[in-house]
Amino acid sequence: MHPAFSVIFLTTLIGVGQGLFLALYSSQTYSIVNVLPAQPGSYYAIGGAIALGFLVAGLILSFFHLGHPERAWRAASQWRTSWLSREIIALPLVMSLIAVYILANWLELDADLYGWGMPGQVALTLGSLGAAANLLLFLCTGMVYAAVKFLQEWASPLTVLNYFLLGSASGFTLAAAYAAYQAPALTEFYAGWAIILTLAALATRAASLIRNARLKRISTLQSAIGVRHNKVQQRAMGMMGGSYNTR
Amino acid sequence: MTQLALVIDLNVCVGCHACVTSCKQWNTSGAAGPMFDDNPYGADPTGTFFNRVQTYEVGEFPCTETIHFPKSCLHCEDAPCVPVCPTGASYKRKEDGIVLVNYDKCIGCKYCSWACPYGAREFDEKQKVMKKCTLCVDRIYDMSIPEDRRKPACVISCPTSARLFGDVHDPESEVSIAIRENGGYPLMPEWGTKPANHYLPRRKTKLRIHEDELVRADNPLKKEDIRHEVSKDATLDDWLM
Repeated sequence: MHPAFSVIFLTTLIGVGQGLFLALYSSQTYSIVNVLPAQPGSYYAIGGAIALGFLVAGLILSFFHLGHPERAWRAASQWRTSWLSREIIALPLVMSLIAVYILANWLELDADLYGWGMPGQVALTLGSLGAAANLLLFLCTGMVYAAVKFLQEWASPLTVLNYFLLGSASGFTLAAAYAAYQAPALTEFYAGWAIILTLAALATRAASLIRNARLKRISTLQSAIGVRHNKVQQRAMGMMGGSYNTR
Repeated sequence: MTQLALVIDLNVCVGCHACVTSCKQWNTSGAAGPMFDDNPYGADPTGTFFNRVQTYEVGEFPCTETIHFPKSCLHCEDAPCVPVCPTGASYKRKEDGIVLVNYDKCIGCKYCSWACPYGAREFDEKQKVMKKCTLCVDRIYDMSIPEDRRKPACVISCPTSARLFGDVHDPESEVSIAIRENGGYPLMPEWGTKPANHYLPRRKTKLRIHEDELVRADNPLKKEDIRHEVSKDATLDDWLM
């Protein structure tokens, strides 16, 4: 199977956006407990806006692989059974939560929500919601592929893990670049995690490549046509050669 | 519960493609609009077909057999293309088990074609929707067609009667009897999709003739051993007795 280029752009770009948001959220959380130096709200707001930009770009590009993009709204209807439908719900959810997060940080909204007597509780709450939705989106994106059990290369938990690690690695890398420009004190934190995530992604991606190379096919040409003979060769694909999925 | 399906006899199919062309003719003329053909008269023609006859060579030359293998949507009882559809355009009818695509709801995301292990889904590049065999749903219930012709176009057109159509859940139907008595099998049963369409395997058709069968061995009035002299006077009547 060859996913359309627009789908590849979608998964790559939203991965960057999601990873960048997770990077911002983690550094903000660390700064609340004084592990990392705190940044002004505008730092997180602008970073969140960059993340949102990637998500929006990915969403727009994803429309290009649809035959009927004007009906795309229908795709949210089958969330009970379809991971694709769930992804289509999770993506706007993430985008709107990030938008709220941007707004709250830009306006530096704060309140003592939990009675901890510490600043940054509103940002922490919104960031946590956004991060949870982000993880959900990673899960949905990965499961769109991992749920197709007939494509044994994809039907593995490694698919979901790869989407999460590769997306986060690219997002943390972008965060490192953003911090180098805006908040040099955080660059090391982001870059360190970017290296760790990239190496982890290398390991899981390599694991799935090794798994794919050693895959034992469940179906064979014999079971596909129900003829038990060691030597079966397809000689013709039928009228007018192949269909679109064999072209 | 009814589950309509096709049963295809590989022992009888000669690979003439009559089912393919009649399927295309019927379905391209229907209310759902024409089925796309790309470059039909060019060097590399392609297009949307609900039914295709593939050809396989089994064995090693010279001990080979050619198997013509007509394949369309198998109308799986647990159709994997249905739950993956994000819009609900892909659905399985409760009343007769036919798996259909609502062309007005399909967004053309092609996810179902990934989920179909049989490659039965056919994307229409012109209408930009996913299509597939409908078991001629617009024909089998059409009261304006004589009752004995309310069958899928491919079944009607098959010159060797290699294709049967009926309810595989009714144990007394023609298709169920054919499956039961001729070793009918589904494709790739290992995935648990329970395809409704079945195939009847190749069978060795050997005729054993005993020598006694060539003469009327137990008939005392038999005349096989009476031989007439060959002469110029003998007429054809003498030979025919």
